Amino acid sequence: MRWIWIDKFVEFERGRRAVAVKNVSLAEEHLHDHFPGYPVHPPTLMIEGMAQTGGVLVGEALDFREKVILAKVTRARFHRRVVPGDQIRLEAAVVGEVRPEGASIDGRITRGADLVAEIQMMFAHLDQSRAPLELGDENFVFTEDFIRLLRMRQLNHLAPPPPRRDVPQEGRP
Amino acid sequence: MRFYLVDRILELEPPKRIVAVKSLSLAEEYLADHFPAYPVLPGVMMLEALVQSAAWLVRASTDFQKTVILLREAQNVRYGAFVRPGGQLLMEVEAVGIGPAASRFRAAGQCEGQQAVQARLTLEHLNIADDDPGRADLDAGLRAFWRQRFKLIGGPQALAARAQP
Repeated sequence: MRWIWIDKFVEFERGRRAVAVKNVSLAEEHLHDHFPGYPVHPPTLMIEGMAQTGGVLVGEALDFREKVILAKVTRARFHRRVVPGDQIRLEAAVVGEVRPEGASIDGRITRGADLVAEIQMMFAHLDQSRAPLELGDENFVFTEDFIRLLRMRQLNHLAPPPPRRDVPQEGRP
Repeated sequence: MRFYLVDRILELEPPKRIVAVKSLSLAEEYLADHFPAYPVLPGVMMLEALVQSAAWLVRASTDFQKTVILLREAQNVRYGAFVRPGGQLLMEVEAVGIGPAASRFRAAGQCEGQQAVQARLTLEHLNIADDDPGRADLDAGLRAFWRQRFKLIGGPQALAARAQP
């Protein structure tokens, strides 16, 4: 399987909050192991979905210059099981603000009106002393997949529409 | 990818503790995304490996009664060293208490002598027939599956080693 646990962003407020959705589908391989005959989306992968939603939110706030890594899951509580056919909504909010050393995220996962999970986590900016030496300055955390995800069409309706260009009409003087 | 995060049970003392190992192979697909330039075991997969180790301890302690064991709550999950391909995550999970429908644990994983993860976990245990009595056949199938898998990853040997004086 791939390692991308959100499908698209539906809301994004720079440095403050982000909302992503994920569809849970029987076409996903892990559901056939978890569990054979009784597919349930693993709670740990919902934590990862929140980490990806929150990680992009924190990374974008500093223009993806920092290597943002998950440092701690303070608490994750699960209230409902998520099964194939469900669409979950992952909402991440920065607690306070993004700081030089990292940021904390307060997250909620819902399915329709139902609360699925509450997750608090902390991200660290991997400083150069801890960064793997062989990597140099490359930011290995934010792969193109995530940046593309953020730039996908779904968010365009949130931005002001581009200025309309007057197109010369043919056949008119 | 497959979603089995325990490769071998090394020590098993129901209902108290389990020691198990997850070996990280570069052949695992998700490493291509996490990360292309620097493949490492994702932090939540370390957590999942702890959850699955704890679930084996529950099954071994309750004669495989409940077929679906899920994470209900994780607290204070802290990360240390990265686990890289070729490395092994050695997991040690101690039960705080195992009840019929839920259990609590203190869990930690290390790799090459360095702490990689630690966490406090609460798991819930259920049977599919609890919600839908008409689906008890699914429980029977899963129970047989878990018993077979337990043999595959060295559960009986770990139990036998403990029985030796």
